Amino acid sequence: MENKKKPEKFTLLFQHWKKYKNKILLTNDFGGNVEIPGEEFESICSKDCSLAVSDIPQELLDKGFAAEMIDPEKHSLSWVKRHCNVMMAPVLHIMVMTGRCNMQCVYCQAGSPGKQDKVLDMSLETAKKAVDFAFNTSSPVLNFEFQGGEPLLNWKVLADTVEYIREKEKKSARTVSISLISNFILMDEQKADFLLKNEITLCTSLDGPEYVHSKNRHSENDISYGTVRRWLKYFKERHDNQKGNSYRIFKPGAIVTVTKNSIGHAKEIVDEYVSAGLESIYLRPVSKIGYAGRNWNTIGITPAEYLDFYSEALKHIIELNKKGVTISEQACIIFCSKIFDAGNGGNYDVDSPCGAGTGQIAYNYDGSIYTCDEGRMLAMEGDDIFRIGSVDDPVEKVLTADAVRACKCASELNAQAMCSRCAYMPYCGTCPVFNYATQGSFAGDMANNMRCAVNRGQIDFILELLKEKDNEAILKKWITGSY
Amino acid sequence: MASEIIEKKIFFASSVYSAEAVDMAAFILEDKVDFVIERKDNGMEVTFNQFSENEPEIFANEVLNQQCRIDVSKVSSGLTKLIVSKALISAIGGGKRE
Ligand code: SF4
Repeated sequence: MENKKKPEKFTLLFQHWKKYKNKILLTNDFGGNVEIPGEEFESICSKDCSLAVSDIPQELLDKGFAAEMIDPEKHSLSWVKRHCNVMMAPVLHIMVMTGRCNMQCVYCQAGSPGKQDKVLDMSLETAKKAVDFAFNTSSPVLNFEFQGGEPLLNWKVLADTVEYIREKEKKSARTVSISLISNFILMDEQKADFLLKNEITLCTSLDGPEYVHSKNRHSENDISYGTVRRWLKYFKERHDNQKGNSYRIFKPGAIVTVTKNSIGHAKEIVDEYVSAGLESIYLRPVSKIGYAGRNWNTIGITPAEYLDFYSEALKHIIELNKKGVTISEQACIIFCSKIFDAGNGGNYDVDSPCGAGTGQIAYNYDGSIYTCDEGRMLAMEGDDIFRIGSVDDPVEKVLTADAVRACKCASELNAQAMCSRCAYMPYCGTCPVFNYATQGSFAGDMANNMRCAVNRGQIDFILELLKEKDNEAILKKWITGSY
Repeated sequence: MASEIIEKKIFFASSVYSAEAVDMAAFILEDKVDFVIERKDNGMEVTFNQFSENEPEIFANEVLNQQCRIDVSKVSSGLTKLIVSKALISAIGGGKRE
């Protein structure tokens, strides 16, 4: 352009935008977001692509929307923080200690095979090979997550594997963390002691007050709710009274699966977490894949139902925070981390590309390796498309398997029809397993995709909340953890 | 809802839709929708022989989705390749540590 004299003229980069109420929401790859009136947007767009500084709202210049104002170091760092999966080897190593379970939850297939079928247990030999595989990757940080089925049904192998991991850790320069996802039914003091002494983070499922929890999570004699509450109390007390210990005890955690049974109980579910002494809640909608997909008529919810539930719950959580109660919501933390330029919220699903096979991998009890736990769950229903190898294969072969490469390409949002222009792309992510299971292709069709609808609604709601300064202060506190 | 035995045709003009988009939609939906594809001079004709509810519309929607992806990838495929390659190289990292 002949008149272009920097810095008097600027070239605006409008990558992603959407109409929002009577305004236009603009976002960019560095996570910057600005809302400007529709007329202002039209006026800017109607002019030459090179604009005088007087034509441009200052916020656009400050937030990386002008090509001439991009600071390569600062803005590339901000991109990298938001997409740290792209920069690392797998950190999360999910180990399915058994396919068996002693419960029959409405959204999980693991209860179906029954408790006795030991052929569904991981052997110690396979477990050690899986651990060796993880240590053979190049990640300086390794997080082993034991789950199932119900991992405590294969206790001896689990305990021996923990010792094996800790032994290997001593001889390596890795930072290793271990977590266990359990329904706690087989927990006892001896196991609890062993787990705590090995600095294992404990997580369970608590779907809400007993009348919600027990509808979702069926156990013999309906003992699940009482068991979960009792052990959460135990682990919390052990955490609170750890002074003088030679090992660290982490706070216990829990997650919610939101089903049809949860609708209408948003506040009560949050209150249940507060009364259990939990400081974080993760309100995940039940996913229409695998067994849950087959049971959809009984438990399924629409995106609109979920979003009503979610917004009621989140508003309640924020009100509780204003009264001094310490409780945060995990999905909100994931989106806010990206909005506040503070990383990716430690998540592998909501990222572009997703972390399947590169940020996380899942080892099934038989030694098969999958891109992620969702991919493994689909295999339990008979479709092995997300299998990427076995614990006997070389790391390089597994981590570049066809399914890994296909997941990367399908979840890289610049290549997606709707996502590439979507205002939420800098904060969003898509799941190839979910897309494949519900729509038949890894890339999916976002115009009719349930997860897309949920993400859009959640981000809309969060951006609306952030317009109030005291809400913003609370959400920022969640990100920094500075309660 | 019971299937109705009626025939419906949708024509995808080559001025708008590439054969690749129609083929990809067919691949994605072959287990769910009953159809026959015929290649014509100026496009592709898809005949739905036995269908229920909105299956032809679902098919047309998927063709549109695939065509949009093809069009978008013409602009962004370089960027996507770069990001995906970086992710895969990072995943395998420097190989063995011990
Ligand atoms: S998945 Fe949906 S909300 Fe997310 S970037 Fe794509 S179109 Fe936007």
